[in-house]
Amino acid sequence: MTAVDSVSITINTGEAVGLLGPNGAGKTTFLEMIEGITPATSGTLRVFGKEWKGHETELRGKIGLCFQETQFMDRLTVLETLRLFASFYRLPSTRADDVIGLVNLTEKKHTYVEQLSGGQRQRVAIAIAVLNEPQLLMLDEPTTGLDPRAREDIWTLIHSLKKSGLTLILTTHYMEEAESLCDRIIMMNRGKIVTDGTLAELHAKNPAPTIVRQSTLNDLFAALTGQDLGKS
Amino acid sequence: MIRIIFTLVAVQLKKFFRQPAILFWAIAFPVVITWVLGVAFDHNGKAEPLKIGLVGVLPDPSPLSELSEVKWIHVSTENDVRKALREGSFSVYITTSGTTPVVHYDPKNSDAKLTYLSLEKQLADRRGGSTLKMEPITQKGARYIDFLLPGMAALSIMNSCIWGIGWGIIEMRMKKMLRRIMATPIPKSAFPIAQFISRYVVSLFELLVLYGFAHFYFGTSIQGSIWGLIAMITAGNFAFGGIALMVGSRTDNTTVGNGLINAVTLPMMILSGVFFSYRNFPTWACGVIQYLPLTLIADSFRLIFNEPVGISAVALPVSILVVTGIITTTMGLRMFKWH
Ligand SMILES: Nc1ncnc2c1ncn2[C@@H]1O[C@H](COP(=O)(O)OP(=O)(O)OP(=O)(O)O)[C@@H](O)[C@H]1O
Ligand SMILES: [Mg+2]
Repeated sequence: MTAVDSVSITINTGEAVGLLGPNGAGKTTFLEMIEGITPATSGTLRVFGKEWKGHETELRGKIGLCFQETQFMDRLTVLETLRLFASFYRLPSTRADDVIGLVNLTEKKHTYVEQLSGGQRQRVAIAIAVLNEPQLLMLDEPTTGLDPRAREDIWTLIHSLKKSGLTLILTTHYMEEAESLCDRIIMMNRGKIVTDGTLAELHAKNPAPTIVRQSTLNDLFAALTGQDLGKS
Repeated sequence: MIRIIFTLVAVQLKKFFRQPAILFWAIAFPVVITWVLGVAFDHNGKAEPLKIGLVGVLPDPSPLSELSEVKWIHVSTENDVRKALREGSFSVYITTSGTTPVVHYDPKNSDAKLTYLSLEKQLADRRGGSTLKMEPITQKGARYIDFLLPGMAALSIMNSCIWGIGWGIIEMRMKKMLRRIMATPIPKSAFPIAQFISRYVVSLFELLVLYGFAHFYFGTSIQGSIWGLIAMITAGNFAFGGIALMVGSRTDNTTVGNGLINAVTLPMMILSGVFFSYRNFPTWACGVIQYLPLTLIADSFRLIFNEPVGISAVALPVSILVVTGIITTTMGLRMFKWH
């Protein structure tokens, strides 16, 4: 089967792009192609104008990412885990303490990662993603499973990173998240892009605008595909 | 209730039969091992003759010379006896003082004890009474522990590498940790190098504990070159590190991983003469077995532990292991699946 089919897009520096679509739409696959994790069977892909092949180390140093699912090493504390990753980026180990503060895990610093709650582990994953102050940040469902407070903390964190010119691509099932963080929305379905545009453009396209903001993207998706995107 | 159990059984069976790799390890592999041990090494259906060392000649006449199910291995010097005992060519030998044959063996060695008992029984069957005089071997370097300890040390290197590196990698791939690490600018070679070094440290520690115990409990000491020993430990770790890298290079499935690990460790554990001498296997098999990595390490350890040899005595096995390490590491990295 083809998880992502004939997609052609350009994402500009400083843009914040939200990838939306139902389960199995191909969001993760698409993101992992950009991340240089899943190779595309055909076509070309350039990140910062460069292909992955031959520029791995350079590109890896500039991007930060967070997979949909990752477990970390057992018997390693939050701090040790982040110090390990800091060493991969050749960063001073004090940087680990900094990002732990950023995701509000200072209290859990010396807890084994496997003893954290799901949401706390997710925050460790995000802390790793921003460790190297990436120019391009790619997050696969970064706030799924987080409580509303933690979600807002992450949003605040991402907002502050955006101020320094960060390019952001994230997948989400939460409309508010896309609206809060993203300037541009790409909707996918069955491996294809069904719509691509700024929030304003999408609202203009929506054949049946509603007053409640949160439901507009949902309605738009339904109108474009005849499918429901699912409620957040 | 019956329906629930039925469905559960059906699901389990489907799960099992849908994974060809599991089928192989669970069904084909045990058959192969059984064949190797049961058929390939069968002595044409006959009982294996007792291998007994003989220093000098038997007094004539002696009930011993009439025994048909004994294979006498003639040795002349004290040194030959020690060598044969160390290699496990025989675990029981006979000397003659005057007209009485004296049987020597280490009663702590179950293999030797069995040989002795069956020798005694053969004699008794013939004569209605045994006149064997027995003398236990207590001389250092010829006891069973002197055979067993180096073998155990070799085994610990193998297990430490295969489980530590091989299994460790499989688990990291399974938990998607490998791909997370590879999504950072870490040089790819750093990962295996770190695995090798950390295992080496663990292995040194394990060996030290094992040796410390044997030293204080059995009075074991190292007769040969300590540099030879270190070279052997290093080469052994390298070879098994490479093998472990190959074992862990592709799969992210626990059962397949387990099967692969068993496929590598089990035959060597049985064949390489850790617990009993591989000299019991047919000669053609010994020719192969003596070059298995575990055998190379175990034999070299036995030599260094029990004889005052220099580093040159283990130069050949060290070289073979280093080459093995280079080949397996290269292949392991070639096949390696990071995701
Ligand atoms: N390892 C795999 N092997 C085969 N097919 C896969 C694999 N991973 C994903 N797919 C298929 O690719 C398609 C897209 O999956 P993908 O994970 O990209 O969806 P997604 O949009 O991220 O969904 P979700 O919202 O559930 O995370 C799905 O139909 C899925 O079945
Ligand atoms: Mg996904």
